[in-house]
Amino acid sequence: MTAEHDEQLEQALTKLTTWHGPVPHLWRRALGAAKTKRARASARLQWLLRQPLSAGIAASIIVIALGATIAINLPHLRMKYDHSQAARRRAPAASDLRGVEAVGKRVVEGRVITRVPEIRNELESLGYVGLAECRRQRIPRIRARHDGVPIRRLGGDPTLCHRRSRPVRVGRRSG
Amino acid sequence: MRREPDMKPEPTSDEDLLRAFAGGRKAALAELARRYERPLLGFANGLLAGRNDRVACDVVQETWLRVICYADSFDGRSGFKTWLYRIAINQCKSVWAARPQPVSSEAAIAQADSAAGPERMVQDAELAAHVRLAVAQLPPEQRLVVLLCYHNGMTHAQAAEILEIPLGTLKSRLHAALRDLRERLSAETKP
Repeated sequence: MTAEHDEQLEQALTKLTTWHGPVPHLWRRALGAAKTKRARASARLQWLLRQPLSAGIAASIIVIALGATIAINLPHLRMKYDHSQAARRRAPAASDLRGVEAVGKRVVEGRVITRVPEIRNELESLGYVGLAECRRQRIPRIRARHDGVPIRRLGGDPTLCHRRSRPVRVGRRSG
Repeated sequence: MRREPDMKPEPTSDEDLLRAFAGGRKAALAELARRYERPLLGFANGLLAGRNDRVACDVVQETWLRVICYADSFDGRSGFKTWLYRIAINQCKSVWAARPQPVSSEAAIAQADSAAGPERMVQDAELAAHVRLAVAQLPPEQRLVVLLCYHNGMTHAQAAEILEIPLGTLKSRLHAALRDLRERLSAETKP
């Protein structure tokens, strides 16, 4: 084909997508159709709401939706729970070693968690000894000093491991 | 000088008009229709070659209906024109799928004759009919590309955006389509 033919082809292609007739204002018809569509949808909804079974249907839908929500979220919640459990297993002392003071209180009250090695080491460094050791060696349970001050002077009673008394806050110096 | 509230300038861009329509101004839709209804009709008519003009009207009406229904959800990621033509193309594809209708050369020539005015030369009308027939026989992707690229001053970049294909792909498809058309037309016009 020649250049003239190419030009003719291009013109023909352009004319192919050109509308020659009058514009029928289809957008007006579309507006009317949209209005009818909306009215029909509204009428259908109202009809549905007027039905006696509609309350039951609505309740069923709510139950199904709730069930679906729980079913969807359950694996996520389960995973979160598992992660927290695993974290606790991995670091048992993390929750128990929140402060030597609190631990000390529990020691003085005779409720020592001696199975946790980190706590035991911490307590031994402060001068605490276990109840069994106390009995075996016949020594007061609290035998060492804390920050250079004898525990006895801090208001605590070294025999507290045998006799329950007012709990002593270790590390707090009294007047 | 203080401007009166009712002297506000009219929104001019297509996107502004669509937003105005979504806000309740029907006149904005009328303005959009004034800009696009005729080109859309021509494009749909070209794309649905061999079918009645009424089918093209149905497609355009359905396109406007979708614009009306989804004006609120137009997010502006693409231009209004792109969005509008995508809707129209999808409507045409639905027609292709629902009513596949091969174009016969007689029907195409008859359509060209009916469209030809008294001032148009017979030769032009015949060529138009042959082109219409040849375009209708192209694969759908090539047909879309060739019609869009020669439609109403559409740029290649705009056509590529509407079809959601890279510019290079559009150009290669256009090249292949034009080569195919030339071959078909030269075969048909040979004595």
